[in-house]
Amino acid sequence: MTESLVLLEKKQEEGLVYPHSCPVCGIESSYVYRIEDGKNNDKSSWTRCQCGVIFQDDLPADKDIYNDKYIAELHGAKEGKDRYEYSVRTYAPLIEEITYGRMMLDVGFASPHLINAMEERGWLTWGIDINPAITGKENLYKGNFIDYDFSLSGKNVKDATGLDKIERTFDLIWMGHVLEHFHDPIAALKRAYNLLEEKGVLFISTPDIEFINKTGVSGWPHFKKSEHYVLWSESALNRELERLGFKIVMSRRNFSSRYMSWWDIHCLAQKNYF
Amino acid sequence: MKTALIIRYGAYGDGIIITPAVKRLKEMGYHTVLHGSERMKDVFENNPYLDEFIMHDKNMSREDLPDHWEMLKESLGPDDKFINFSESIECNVALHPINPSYNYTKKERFDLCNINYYDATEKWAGLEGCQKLPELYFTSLEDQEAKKHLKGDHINILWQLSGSARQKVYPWSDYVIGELLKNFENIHVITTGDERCQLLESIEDIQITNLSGRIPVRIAMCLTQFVDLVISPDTGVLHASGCFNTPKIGLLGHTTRTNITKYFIHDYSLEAQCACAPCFRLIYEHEIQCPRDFVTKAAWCMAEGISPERLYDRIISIVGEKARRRISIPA
Repeated sequence: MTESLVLLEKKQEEGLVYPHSCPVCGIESSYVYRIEDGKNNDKSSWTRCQCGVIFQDDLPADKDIYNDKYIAELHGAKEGKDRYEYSVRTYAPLIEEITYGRMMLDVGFASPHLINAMEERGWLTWGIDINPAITGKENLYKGNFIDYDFSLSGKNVKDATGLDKIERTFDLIWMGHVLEHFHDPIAALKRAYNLLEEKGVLFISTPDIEFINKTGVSGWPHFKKSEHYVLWSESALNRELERLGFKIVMSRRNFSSRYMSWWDIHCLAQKNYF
Repeated sequence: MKTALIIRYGAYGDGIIITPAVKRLKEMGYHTVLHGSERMKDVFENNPYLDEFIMHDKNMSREDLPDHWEMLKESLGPDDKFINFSESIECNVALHPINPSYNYTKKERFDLCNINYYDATEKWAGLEGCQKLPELYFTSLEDQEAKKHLKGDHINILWQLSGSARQKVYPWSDYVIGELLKNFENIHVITTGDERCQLLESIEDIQITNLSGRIPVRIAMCLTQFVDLVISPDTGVLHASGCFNTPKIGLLGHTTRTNITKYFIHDYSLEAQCACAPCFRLIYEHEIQCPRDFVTKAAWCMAEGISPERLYDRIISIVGEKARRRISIPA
């Protein structure tokens, strides 16, 4: 074996062979960021695609990350309660203005602050997370949002409706810094669309890769090898939402640390019912 | 003689709420005239404090109402009083979807609307010294007619199945009535409501008298003074029961005891316990405006906010001592 072939094999083993195929648009790209995570010294490689996303091929393994330690870190976040509540203060009035229903699902539930704040406004709340260690009231689902069966079944349902099961829907799906964790974010957005009521609203906050131009690669805090998979630009996210049938009600780039995270996108999308 | 011209359309409950104000005006020496709907006529029949009733033309369009009211007002003299109770509860202490306050936070809505309807009515009218309990007056014939539906030697429970709006339907009525009759031998349930409520009268039993749509509303309201317990959502029948000492359980979804039953005697009302309640909102289309129970399709506050177990326990706490438990037969 030649020296160059040995080197290629070694690079393949290390996952450093490009181009890689984009999980959003499928087009191959070779524009690579090599990142060393300042927190864990994890080294990761991220590929920038022309469609407006950055992704890594090294899929985070859910079971190794989402556990009680992960929850404890979130619960211990400085001023976490205030920051979660601030999102509600900012966006709930607008959401309440554009939809009548008051049933919400918090995707990526880890902390009760968000749903507590929504309940105080009169919302009925549910949460779902892949982390088996989440704890709370009986309104929590443990599983993968993309394929979780939210339907209701059983004798009572059969007696009352004559149906084996009834599908359920929500008026608001809140995806606060969770979209970037999905291995298949388009499937997650489609699922959100299908679970929403006719006039349902989707709230998304997710890291904004356009801020890299401002912060520089090393200063942008969202390259998290163990958690994040696909990172979005505002235009790419809005394009995919509209492609799925959503209408963008509001989309803004946030640099304020009053929220749980910053240098991110805040987006409100509604099913296009008009 | 000075005249008080009072305007009130609306539902039965709206009419009953203004009875103390009309009485107060009469006590103040006014010739009391009520311009109202057919339902107001029912409410004020035989009321000694009302001197005159003018029927509202129900074909008049809403757009013409302001000019109509202005014309009525101009017909009055300088010492006369004009009180228009339209929107005195609706829009004032219950939130209409067209008003910004409809979407205020729950705490803001609570601060704004957790006011007793009778107090709010007194204030709206600019009066002082109104009594806090409503009044209804029935003829002896009506009393006799109502009493025909009672069962002697039984605990008679009047169960109002629904009100003017569908979000007031309590979906577990059948279940609770079934449990009561299964466990006690001397309970008699009288169900009332409009014709649509006949759909809810799914149990036929010797211990149940189904009267929805079969008796005049005045007889249903008259019955509230003779039964042992009244169970009702926030409807005219609940307000009617407020005229009497009869024990009552209001099933309160979008409102509170402060709103409705604060001054009622022997009040055992249940407020919904869920995140969306009390919303204080005026609900016109509960399919759109309310979160709904997945199975029953009833408003969430009624289906999930007032569990059947909670209501059953409340009923037993009121009638339990007089109720005779059925002797169980060993299998």
